[in-house]
Amino acid sequence: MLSNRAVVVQRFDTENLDAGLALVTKLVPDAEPGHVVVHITLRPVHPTDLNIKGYSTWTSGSFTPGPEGLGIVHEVVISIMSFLPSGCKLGHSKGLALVVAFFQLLLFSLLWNQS
Amino acid sequence: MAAAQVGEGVTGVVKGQRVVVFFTVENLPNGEGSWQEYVSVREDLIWVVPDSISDEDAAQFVIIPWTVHGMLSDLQVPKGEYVLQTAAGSVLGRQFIQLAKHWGIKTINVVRRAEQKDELKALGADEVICSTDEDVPARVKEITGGKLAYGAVDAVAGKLTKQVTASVRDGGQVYIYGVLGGFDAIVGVGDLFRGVCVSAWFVYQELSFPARRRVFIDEVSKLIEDKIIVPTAGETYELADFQLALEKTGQVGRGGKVFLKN
Repeated sequence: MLSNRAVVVQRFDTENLDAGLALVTKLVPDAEPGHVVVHITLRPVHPTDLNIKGYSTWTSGSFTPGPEGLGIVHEVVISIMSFLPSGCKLGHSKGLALVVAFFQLLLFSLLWNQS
Repeated sequence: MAAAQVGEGVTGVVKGQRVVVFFTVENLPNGEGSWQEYVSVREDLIWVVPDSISDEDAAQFVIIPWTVHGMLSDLQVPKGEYVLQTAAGSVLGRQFIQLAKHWGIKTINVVRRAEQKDELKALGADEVICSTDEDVPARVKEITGGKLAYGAVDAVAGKLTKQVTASVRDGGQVYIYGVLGGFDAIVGVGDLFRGVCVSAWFVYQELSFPARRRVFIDEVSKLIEDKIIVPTAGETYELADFQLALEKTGQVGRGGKVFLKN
């Protein structure tokens, strides 16, 4: 099974940014519609990467730093949005309903041809 | 998986393609940055890297070159005028010198160590001031014949910002883009009275505008392909050795960009 090793800042201390960092194993994210899962292979270390938490409007809690990186596309999920005219917005459940309706139609048409 | 249409405004992303991932104010606050092996990002926040750009250049394609390009564009420095920068010996500082030279803008570069002078001049720096043993505003006045710098970018903040603001013309713009000297900046009120404007240039904010992302991608990739901007690569460490990578990053005069790989 794939694992997702990640550096996590568990405690943010402006006086000692390197403290409170740990290597943990996270879940590999699932691909959601409209998203791409990327296997990141190379990323730079900038002096400001750990400072990101110092910008006061950002959320609190543990986080994985890193503002850029190169990777390989690991998984792509075709978005239902891509089959709709642009500007047409659907909620997740409505999108799912549309997929179900599509397959029902397909099934009906197959049965119709057989009969 | 075969080539797939993945959404509005995206021409197609294929499994196995080499891509750069953008992290912006939209997704970074979720705490899912690049220092991990797998991330899920919205389809418009990746860019398929052309073969003409190496892994090392692509991995540092976003933050530094875009900050350099963005700040130098926004300062609107006329050709032949001087722009001032601090931490000029950094990877960003070097790219700033390269792009300014390409655009016909002269640079005044502030460094802490005098031994960096020759190296930066060889790279195309017009003037280099060592803040450790030189009076920065006095030297800038001398270099510019009293006009002072048209604008400035400051990676240091802290006390140095006061010297930077004092070195900029009336009504000039200073962008603070880093906090190497701390999270506070000292600004001379007299310089504010002269109309000097001090504000931040924050790449994550800029990256959040799709139209601006498009401009950056088109222009910066060409500057890298044409070797106008030459990113420098330093040592590479395994992801698990992140503490060693951080130590190396903090070293004075470490050279090229430090990487984490897996």
